[in-house]
Amino acid sequence: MKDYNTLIKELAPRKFTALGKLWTGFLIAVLVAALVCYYFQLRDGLIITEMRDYALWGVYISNFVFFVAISLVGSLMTAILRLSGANWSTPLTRISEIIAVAAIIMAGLTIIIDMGRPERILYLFTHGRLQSPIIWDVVVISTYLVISLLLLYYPLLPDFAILKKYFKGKNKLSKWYGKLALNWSGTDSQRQIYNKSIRILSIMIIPVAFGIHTVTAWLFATTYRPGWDSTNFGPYFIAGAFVAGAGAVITIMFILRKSHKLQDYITDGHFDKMGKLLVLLCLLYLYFNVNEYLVPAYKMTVEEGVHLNELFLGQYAALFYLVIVGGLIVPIIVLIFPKGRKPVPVFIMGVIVVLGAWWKRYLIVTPTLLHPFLPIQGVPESWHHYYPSTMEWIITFGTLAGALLIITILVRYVPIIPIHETAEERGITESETTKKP
Amino acid sequence: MRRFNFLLCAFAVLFVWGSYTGHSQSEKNRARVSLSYESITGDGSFLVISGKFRGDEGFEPANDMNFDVYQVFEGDSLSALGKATTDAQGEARFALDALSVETANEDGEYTLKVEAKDNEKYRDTDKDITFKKSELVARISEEGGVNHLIATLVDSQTNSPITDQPLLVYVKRLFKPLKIGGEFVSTDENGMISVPVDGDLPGLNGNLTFEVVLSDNDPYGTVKARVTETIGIPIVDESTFNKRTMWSPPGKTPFFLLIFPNLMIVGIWATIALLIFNLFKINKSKS
Repeated sequence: MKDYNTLIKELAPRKFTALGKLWTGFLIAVLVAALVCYYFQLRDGLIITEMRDYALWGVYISNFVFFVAISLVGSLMTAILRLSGANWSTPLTRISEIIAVAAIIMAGLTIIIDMGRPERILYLFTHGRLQSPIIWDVVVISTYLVISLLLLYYPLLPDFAILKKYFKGKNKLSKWYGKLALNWSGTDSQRQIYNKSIRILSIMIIPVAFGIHTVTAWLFATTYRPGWDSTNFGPYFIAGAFVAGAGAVITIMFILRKSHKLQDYITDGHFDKMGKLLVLLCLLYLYFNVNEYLVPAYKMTVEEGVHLNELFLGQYAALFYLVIVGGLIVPIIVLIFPKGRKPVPVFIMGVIVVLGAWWKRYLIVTPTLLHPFLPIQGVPESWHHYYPSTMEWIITFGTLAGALLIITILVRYVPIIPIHETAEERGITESETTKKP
Repeated sequence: MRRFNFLLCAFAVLFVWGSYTGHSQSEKNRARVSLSYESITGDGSFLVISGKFRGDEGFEPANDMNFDVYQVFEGDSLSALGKATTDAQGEARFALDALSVETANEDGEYTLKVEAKDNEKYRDTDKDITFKKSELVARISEEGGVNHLIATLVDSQTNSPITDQPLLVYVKRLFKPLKIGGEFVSTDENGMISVPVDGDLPGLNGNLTFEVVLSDNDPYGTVKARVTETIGIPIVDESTFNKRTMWSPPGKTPFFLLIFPNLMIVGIWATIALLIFNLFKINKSKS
């Protein structure tokens, strides 16, 4: 068994390696490029995008829905697995919380990016109509952001106290950890408040997380359009979000395990379990997909028929099959076998699930807008199609880089694996180890 | 010789001045002015002045054209009544409240004259009109279970009925008046008409507004009378404009949507506040 000091040494945040610095520099470069493009968008307006009267939601909103989906992972890993007593997920909770916080911050920012007049964002609060799903989304996103931040911060309190001691030689760092630890000393009263608060957070985040995904789904479902006019959309989005979130955790945990040499903490068993979990979630999402396409296909109203034809046989067919087969069916087949649940195959499946999840959002948003119930007439030919402009792509990549930068910075300064919880679960205490020679 | 030079100079000055004024007039538009007399029972009588000119795109309304309005008496003496200016449609309505019965000639006729002088855009012009005043009265009367619109047209000067004149009868509708009683209904020897009113005409709160019109008559001009009676089928106002609906503005949000989501929001944010307060408690509870 590892002693307490070894545990802290292995789990304490580390300085960036050369590769880490290169990675951070790359993310900052993408972000700067996106900021330059966003400046042009602010100056010239949304005309720099390919969005027009019909394709009024494009890659930005697809990206927003993707971020919202990814953010669900915080509640899945931390709350649902914690409350169901699945202790094996402890090493993955911090990663999930970090991903959730990064994703929900970028989701909020992406909505602002999609606004033609972002300086009017305050009007959403001052003139918002409670009847509008847009306002529900604004309320639920800000609520989920605060809860996610608290859910990240609370379990960090004991870890910050540990790190304060650990970095005693480095005054500045130690001072910051000390401030963030809020005088944590592990007294009974502190533990009592701490445990109670985490329990409340774990319970509260589940309905709010379900709320954010349901409301995001309602942004579409409350609009009478082929492909969106579905009562199935809320659970369909939640199922899809679980898949995307689990894929994101698998991807990040694999990279961090490699980069931080955490094989003793994030074991092959974790990949096996995450693989099984991903199969379950993919099957669930596949079931919802069948519902989503089969029922309209059976009724085959003219407009739904056009929409489905575009997806199954038309210009989006290649992307559609790539997303459904590559992003859902292949992972199910690979991960169902024990050999497929080894770290590397699970990682690869995680990556394609995340990529599939991103393009799936694009397929939800765009084709529907280009096939409204009323025919598109009297507009330039180019308005009949949508493919993002270069600037749109750069801004979108900037938001993705932004999310990854938040994750990278948090990974640099907070323990990826909860030190305090891991020590407790493994029965390693400070007092015991200090007795050792 | 000196006299000849003086006359030559005077002629030259007159020629230059005449050319200048002639030239300045020729740059202005020649407006065609038409006059009509209109009387609406209860609302007064009006002189309607219309002006138009031939512009680059055909006839255009002569807007902002100023007129002096006079009453013409026997011997062509004039009495100023006031001024009028045409609107964007090239029309001016001059109220004839000051036109008293005593000022009519022995045949009960009135002659009005309008003069447009020194307008910036239009050449000087004038026009006159002669008309007689009449009185048109309308009412609703029920005869044999059927409502009838009864209208009487009499000469204001002699108080005698005006016979055999075509009247138009309309019911006011939202977009366009609905004609009832056929194309024309002529006044009888008593100057009266009687038009049956269908019992199935809908109206807001059951109100129906009828209008009887003697149109563009010589010498009485256009004469109108209106009457409103509650004899229609009441329209039930189904507008949700003032109701709390899902499509109303923020101030008219449905109560259920104000209560339940706000209860949830307050409940969750109160819990968040408690959790933030717990952080302070943890901070203060060091042993």
